[in-house]
Amino acid sequence: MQAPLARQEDLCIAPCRQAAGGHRPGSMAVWVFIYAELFEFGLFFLAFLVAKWHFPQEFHQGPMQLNTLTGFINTLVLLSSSFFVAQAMRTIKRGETYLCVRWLCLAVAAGVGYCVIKAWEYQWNESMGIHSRTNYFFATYYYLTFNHLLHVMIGTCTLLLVTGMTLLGFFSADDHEGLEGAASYWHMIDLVWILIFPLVYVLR
Amino acid sequence: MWARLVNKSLQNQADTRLRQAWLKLLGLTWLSFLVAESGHLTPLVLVLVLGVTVVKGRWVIDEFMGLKQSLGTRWIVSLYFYLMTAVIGLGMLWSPV
Repeated sequence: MQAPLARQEDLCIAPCRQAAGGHRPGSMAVWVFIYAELFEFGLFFLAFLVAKWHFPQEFHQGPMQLNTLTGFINTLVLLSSSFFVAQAMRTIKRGETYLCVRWLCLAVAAGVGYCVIKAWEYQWNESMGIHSRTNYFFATYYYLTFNHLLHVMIGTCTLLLVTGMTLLGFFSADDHEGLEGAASYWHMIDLVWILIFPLVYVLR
Repeated sequence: MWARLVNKSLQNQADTRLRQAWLKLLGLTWLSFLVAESGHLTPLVLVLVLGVTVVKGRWVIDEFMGLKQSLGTRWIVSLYFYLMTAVIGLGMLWSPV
């Protein structure tokens, strides 16, 4: 049997079905939700910087008390999870359902790993006598990172759901918009963390 | 047979590119971590770290999210990312301490 010729989306790394205005991965509703989330995090970043302006000493000393290693490891975990999700999208477009499920399972595992490491980081903070009420820096740190953690939890549950749906045959090479939406949401979470990592852990 | 070979070759190229993007992202994160551990924030370090952040965001948007072909969405997400990076940079630069 002759293999089908490579389609346009197979030649690209990620979903890129070429249409007149270009292909947006996921439905419009998902993207409205993603834009709202990005706006929300944008406000958090501004709040962080305003607080830094008002309490410069606390924001100068605070980051030095944080566990940078956990922030670093979590960045690696999230970037890897995004890679797994991108691979899952590539495989579903090729009709390789079981391979797609495997990549999605890896992404879910990375999401759970992120939550475990973050929980350990919070516990480590507690053992060092750091709480959300220690000072304004830690209040904004917990506000920002806990909010992001909640989004990772929601994203992980969503990935788990689409993994099950993929396994049950809900998505195929021709119809996978729901999976694309979940993937886009997950990448958005990763993108926000790429900004949080230097803001909280690196630039001190 | 030729079609299958071409197909496989193109898929491998794309897979390799994606894997390379992932490894580069991990490498850049490691660079940021080293900067964080050095503990000296100078304007040059700030520009370096934010430059690394912009490159990382660019790769996630283009390679992982696959927005290269979706011009409108790519434009909005990229604008947000650049704007936030610039705001963070200015916030750090003009911080009283």
